[in-house]
Amino acid sequence: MIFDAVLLVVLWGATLVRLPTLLRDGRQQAMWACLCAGTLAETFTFPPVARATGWPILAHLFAAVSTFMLLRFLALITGRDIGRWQWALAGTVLVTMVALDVVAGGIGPDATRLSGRLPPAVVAFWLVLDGYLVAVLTSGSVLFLSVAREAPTGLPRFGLRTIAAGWVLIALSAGVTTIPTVLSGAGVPVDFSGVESPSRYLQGAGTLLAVGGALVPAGRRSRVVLAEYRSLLALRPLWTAMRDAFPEVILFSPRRAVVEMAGVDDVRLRLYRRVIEIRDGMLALRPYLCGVLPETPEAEAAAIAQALRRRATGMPPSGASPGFAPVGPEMADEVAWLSRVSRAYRRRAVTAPAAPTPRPSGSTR
Amino acid sequence: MKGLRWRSERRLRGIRVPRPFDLDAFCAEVAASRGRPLIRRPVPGLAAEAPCGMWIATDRADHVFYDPGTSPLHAEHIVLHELAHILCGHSGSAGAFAQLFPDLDPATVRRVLGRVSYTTEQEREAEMLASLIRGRSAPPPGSIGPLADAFGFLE
Repeated sequence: MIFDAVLLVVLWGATLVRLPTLLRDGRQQAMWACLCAGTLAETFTFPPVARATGWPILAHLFAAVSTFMLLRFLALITGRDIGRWQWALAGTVLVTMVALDVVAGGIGPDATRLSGRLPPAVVAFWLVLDGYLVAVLTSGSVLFLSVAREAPTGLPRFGLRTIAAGWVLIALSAGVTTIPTVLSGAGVPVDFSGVESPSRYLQGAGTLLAVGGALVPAGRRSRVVLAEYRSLLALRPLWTAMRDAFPEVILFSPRRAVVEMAGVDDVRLRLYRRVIEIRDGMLALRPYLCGVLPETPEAEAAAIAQALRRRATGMPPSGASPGFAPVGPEMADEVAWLSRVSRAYRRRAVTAPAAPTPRPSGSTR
Repeated sequence: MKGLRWRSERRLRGIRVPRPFDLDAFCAEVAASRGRPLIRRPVPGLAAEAPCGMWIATDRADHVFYDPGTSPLHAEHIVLHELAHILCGHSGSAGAFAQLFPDLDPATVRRVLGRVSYTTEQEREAEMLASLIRGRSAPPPGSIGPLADAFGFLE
């Protein structure tokens, strides 16, 4: 019971965490749908929930839907889409399961809780469900293992292999119950209690591995996200100065951006917006620059402070703008340079009373 | 506001974005999808008292103008903002361009949109779409790319 509860907590946690990915493309949506349907399947298998609902078939149907969504995800990452026959096959599997459930007078929540000689409808039900599950999970495992060779070494490769191992265990769990089910249907006496524990633990461990494997690459990503957060903070003084001077170039306030940019790559998107909005402000400020082209972050921060002051006090544009220091073409170059300028600007703003916060007004553009 | 993000993401799904990002390739993609040339031109000093980017659609081609007096990433973003107007099918007026391009016959111009501020819904949508196109990290090349993108890990 504790194992089942832990499994559910992990699954619901992962499902909720990935909710914003629904905003992205079909791959992300298929991946989330697979996870969500799998979580619902495990939820309806959980004994208290299963007893409360009294519909064990729900868990099996969600398992089949989750498997289909996994198939769709695999098709999308390999650059294809699900063919009509695969939609038809999934539909046939679901309809057949419901029909066999009706014919058998209700299928139990777990094949391992069966006993005695099984009627053909029950055997057919488990053959259809487990056959579909094993076929999709096996092809998925093979695909992930082959693609994992191309993955960056370390956590990403380990994560993909862990997912594949998880699917292999779930497929094994299905196989472990299918064989005695078929034998029982053929009249061979089978003791299902002997396969109950191994099957349940194989399935649970497989699910944990698959979900854990999907989270493993996030370990590497988390370092990048942390660095991006630091850059966001570093850029804030310069961004605030531009926002105060040119509020019309700000797409979202920082709080609003957390919501609007939520999802995959959200911090990077916010960082990108911050860079663009700073550059928008600098472009609008360019006519007020004077002197020579700044070559150091300190010189650029001083030039910005002076231009903001000129504009805020109503002085006319200088007429001979030297422009700003040239920066490399990549976002990393921009972030590195502007972070240094921003730090220099903050030090200057704190120490120099001659650089007041500019008053908000319209754009010069 | 929630609709802006949702709308932009939906539009983006139908657009092929080169990874890693390449502005020339993306412009070629937009031009091919519209079946007409897309001409990109830097106009120094465009942003002084006017928009820092502008899209002018004539009967024969799309002209995108941008101020090159900024960093390469920002200049690229200005162009992307104008391309986003094109991709969103936005419409503008031809009133402002005569001041900037006095030699161009107003009768030949179908649409004009400039990047000034984000105070109108069209401008916000174009800005959001441009940010989603360029602001996301590029997945690694090869068959690992889609997986890396889906699971969120980088090279």
